[in-house]
Amino acid sequence: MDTDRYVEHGIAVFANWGVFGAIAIGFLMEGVTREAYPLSLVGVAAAVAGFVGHLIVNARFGRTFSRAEAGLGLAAVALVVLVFTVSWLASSLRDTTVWTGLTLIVALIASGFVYLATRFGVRSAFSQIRGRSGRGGRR
Amino acid sequence: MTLTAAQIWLIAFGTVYVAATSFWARQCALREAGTRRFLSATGELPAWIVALALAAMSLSAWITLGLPDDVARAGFSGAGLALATIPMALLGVATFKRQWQAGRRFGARSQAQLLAFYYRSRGFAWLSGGLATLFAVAFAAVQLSVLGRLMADLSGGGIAPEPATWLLSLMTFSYVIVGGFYAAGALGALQCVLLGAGIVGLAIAANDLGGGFSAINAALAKLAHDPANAHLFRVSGVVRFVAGADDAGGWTSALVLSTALALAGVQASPIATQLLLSARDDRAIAAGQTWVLAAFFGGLCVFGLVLVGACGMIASSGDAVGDLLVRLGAGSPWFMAAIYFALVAGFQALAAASVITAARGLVRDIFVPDFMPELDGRTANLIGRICVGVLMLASVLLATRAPAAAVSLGALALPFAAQMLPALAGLCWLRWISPPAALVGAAIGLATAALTDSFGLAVMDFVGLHLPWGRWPWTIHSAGWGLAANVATMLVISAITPLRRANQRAATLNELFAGLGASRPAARGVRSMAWSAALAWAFLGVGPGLVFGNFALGDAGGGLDAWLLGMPPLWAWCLAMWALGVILVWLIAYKLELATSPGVDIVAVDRGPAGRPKTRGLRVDHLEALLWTLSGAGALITAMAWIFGH
Repeated sequence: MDTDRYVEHGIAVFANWGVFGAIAIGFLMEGVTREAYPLSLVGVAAAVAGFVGHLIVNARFGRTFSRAEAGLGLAAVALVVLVFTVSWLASSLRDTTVWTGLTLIVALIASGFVYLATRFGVRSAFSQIRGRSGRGGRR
Repeated sequence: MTLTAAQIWLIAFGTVYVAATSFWARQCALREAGTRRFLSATGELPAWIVALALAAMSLSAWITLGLPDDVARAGFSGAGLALATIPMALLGVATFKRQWQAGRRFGARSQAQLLAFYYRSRGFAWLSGGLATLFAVAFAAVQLSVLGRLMADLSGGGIAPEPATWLLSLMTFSYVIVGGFYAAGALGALQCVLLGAGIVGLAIAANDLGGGFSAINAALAKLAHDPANAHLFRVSGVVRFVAGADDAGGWTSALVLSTALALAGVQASPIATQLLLSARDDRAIAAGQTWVLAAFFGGLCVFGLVLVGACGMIASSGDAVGDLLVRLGAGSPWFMAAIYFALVAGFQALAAASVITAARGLVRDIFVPDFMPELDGRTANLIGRICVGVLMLASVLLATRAPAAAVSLGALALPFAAQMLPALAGLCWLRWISPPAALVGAAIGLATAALTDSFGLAVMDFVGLHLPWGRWPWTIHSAGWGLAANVATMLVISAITPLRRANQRAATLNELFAGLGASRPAARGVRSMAWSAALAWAFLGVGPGLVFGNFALGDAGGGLDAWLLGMPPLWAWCLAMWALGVILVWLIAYKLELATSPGVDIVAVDRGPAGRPKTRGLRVDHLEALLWTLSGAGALITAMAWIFGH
């Protein structure tokens, strides 16, 4: 039965990200291509909505982020930061692209921090990060 | 070779989608029960997953791709078809709970087992298995073919239609063969969400590329001014006594009603029953049918897909969805790719479930009981896996090598499925339907449906018998003709045959339903009102009353100023009927308590000792009888074609 709950939770998470992820990628691309910052903002909002949706699914199934999920999320954010930084340094990005990238990075990091702060309290949020790294990521 | 942006995004979304389905198929296979029960997942799937999977299967890519094209070609009378989600939901609300309860009581794992056990007739096992095979091979082949061609168009010729069709088939096969029915059901929920989002995306794209809702309606008003286009904005009467619907010059309300019945037939198919029996409990039936199917998908169909069709009508396009996606791909390939794979998800929701249901029907419900009763479960599962491969191969070969045959054969799947309705009504409600009446009625219904559709006409023509009618005579869909013959036969035979053979099982069900279905006094109070409302809705929404939509909300040909709601009157009528339909489904599901769960555990009846099979090993006598029957039928057809055919 535990495996059933795992599958159930996973399907719900994938359905959530399948929709919000596609919307986020689509609107971010649309905003950057058309140089329309409001469209990019819709994409950023969709990414944040996907994160919030993931939290709701977790709460509904009485789970927290698994190590794999947390690792994947951190890796995705790191990748976004890396690609954005390299692109910014290597070529002259248009204003809309720069603002889109910055907004996305800030929104993703802020969402993560707000989650930790609401779950563990502001002070504990920092110690959670330190504690995770100190204990090899185990909670 | 340089890839275009559209190709890159198709590859990117396709890769992510395949990775996700493969990952979850493997997770499902790793479950202990998943490996043991490849061909079914009885009582194992969460109710909410089944509710979503049923909705996705009911719509599939069939309606999503077909409805806009119907509207673009035949006009807003095709919008009446978008209301088919309400009859679908009404059917689900009226039968699903009782099917699930009866299945739990009798320990049934499939429609074949349920009906064969209740009616004590092996004929239902063959009927149900054959029907599931038709869905898995022909109905899936039609959608495969359309989606393959669409992928070729969207990739700008980067991939030819035939390899694209093979690729789509392989994508489905790869997760079905690993995860079995549990994976098909579980991923059905994911595919339902993706399909819903895809339809929303299609509607937004149509609205955006059409210049906004007001501009689209202004263009429609301009079209409506031309008397030559009048047929696009009105239903062309109640019924037309012509040889075939193709000669009618437009949709009549009789055609809309009978086609809605055909579309609702998917809810009576073996695939729907097997998904339903996979649910752990019956708690999500009411919500699934009311809010997911009738409200959410019904709204998307009657507004979103009709909007896509309206844009196709303005552009004089016969392929509304394809043209829209090609235009979208030119500017926003990421959205085009995402919507395309949402359509693929809709196709897979039906194809995956139907191929395993068919494999189960052929192996567990036909081969094992009739030909090899002592076959062990592991070998049966292995044969089931081989069956899945063979069925999918047949489907893709039909789609690529004989697309015309696939279309005419696939068109029979829904009207054939609708012929199971009276038998299911007998199981759920009408205990006076005798076993021979249900079986013979279904057989006569199938024959009538076949003979009033293009496939049956072509077969008759092949053997030299030229029937004096065309496809869908008197503008009534073959499902309607089949159901009329089915019900008439069933009534006559029920009147003249005793109920003896089903009596004990009917009594078991009577006792079960009486115990579980005792409704509150408040529910009894709304009963007559609800059924009156259902009849009134059927008359006005999909019945003869649909012609009121021609003029009730404005003059169809009078232009924008004459349209009371600023949109074509018939479309506005359909939207109003959809809203009333949702209220009706809610009333029947919740207030009448026809689909709400009683929250009681159902104990399976003791079906008695299975008994030792009379023959060990292969039942050669049965196999001989089958081979002689098939050879005889083949010889007869060949002789007739040789003597009378062209």
